[in-house]
Amino acid sequence: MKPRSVAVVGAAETTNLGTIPDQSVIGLHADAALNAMADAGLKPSDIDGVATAGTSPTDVAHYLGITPTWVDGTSVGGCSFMLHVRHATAAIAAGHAKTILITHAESGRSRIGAGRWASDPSSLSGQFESPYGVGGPPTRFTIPWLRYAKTYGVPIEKLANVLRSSNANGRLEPSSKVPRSNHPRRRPRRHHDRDSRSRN
Amino acid sequence: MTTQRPLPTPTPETAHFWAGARDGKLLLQRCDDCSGAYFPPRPFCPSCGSRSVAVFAASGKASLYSYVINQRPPSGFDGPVAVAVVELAEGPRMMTNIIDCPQTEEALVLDMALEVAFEKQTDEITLPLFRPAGSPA
Repeated sequence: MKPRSVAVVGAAETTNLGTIPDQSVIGLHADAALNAMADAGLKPSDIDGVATAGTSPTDVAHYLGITPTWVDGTSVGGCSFMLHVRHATAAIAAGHAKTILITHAESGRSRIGAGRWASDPSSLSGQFESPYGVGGPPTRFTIPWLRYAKTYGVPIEKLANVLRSSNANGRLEPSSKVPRSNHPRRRPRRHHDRDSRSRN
Repeated sequence: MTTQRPLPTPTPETAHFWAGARDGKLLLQRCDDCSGAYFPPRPFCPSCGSRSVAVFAASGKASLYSYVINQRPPSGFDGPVAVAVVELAEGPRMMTNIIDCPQTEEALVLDMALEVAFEKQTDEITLPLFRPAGSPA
């Protein structure tokens, strides 16, 4: 692939953010997609590739009036959409598509048109995790960390940096839902800070 | 308990495990070729791919590998509950809950000795849980 031969040409969120009880999951996909297309100056007929996770990429394509020559439904958790970017880049480089739309939508608070969270009781997680109270990420993400902390003698205070960094990153985004009181009080970093440190 | 935990629906590949739990046995599988023990159940060895495997009854002894305490009780639980991962004496690790033990950081000490305790949920399903080793049954 030639360097700089693939680019992100548009990006957008849904028109409303936060709790949105009047749109379904597929509606949120379409709303954000239309905003991203507007950002790029494109119409649905300009798109020939669609990638998403959770919802079927063919559903998103049909709903938006897109006839794709390439789809990707890779669904491996929250990092799926980053993989879609990688796959889209490779697909464009290989000539499978020219203009690819990647969408994500959840209706996480309102659960409109979103189905249920519960896992299939005959799946491996349904049989060997759910009966013990395992649900979303908060019910399991720190389990390997606690073992790591014991094995390598890491104090639990170190874990606070994860939250602090997440909040600091969230604060960079104006639409962030991070509560104001949780925002780390940090002076904006300026270039001369570094300069003055290097002089001292 | 006011509500029921989410319960498993066994598949042909896991039916022997749940039948064993119903009879008070913790059944693992071992590879005939590389002799590795493994869990969860499947009709082949995840280490070497051999389909020549056998079911055997585990000792029920384990140690606490790690856990997280859920302060918001999930469906079927009355209060805070620890989702635990135990390391069985035979090697494999499994997710479970620790019973007969306060669900606190002080009481749940990593590497503490545990033993299996079967808790009947329905006529079909009995869950393998674990309790501190040597505690009165």
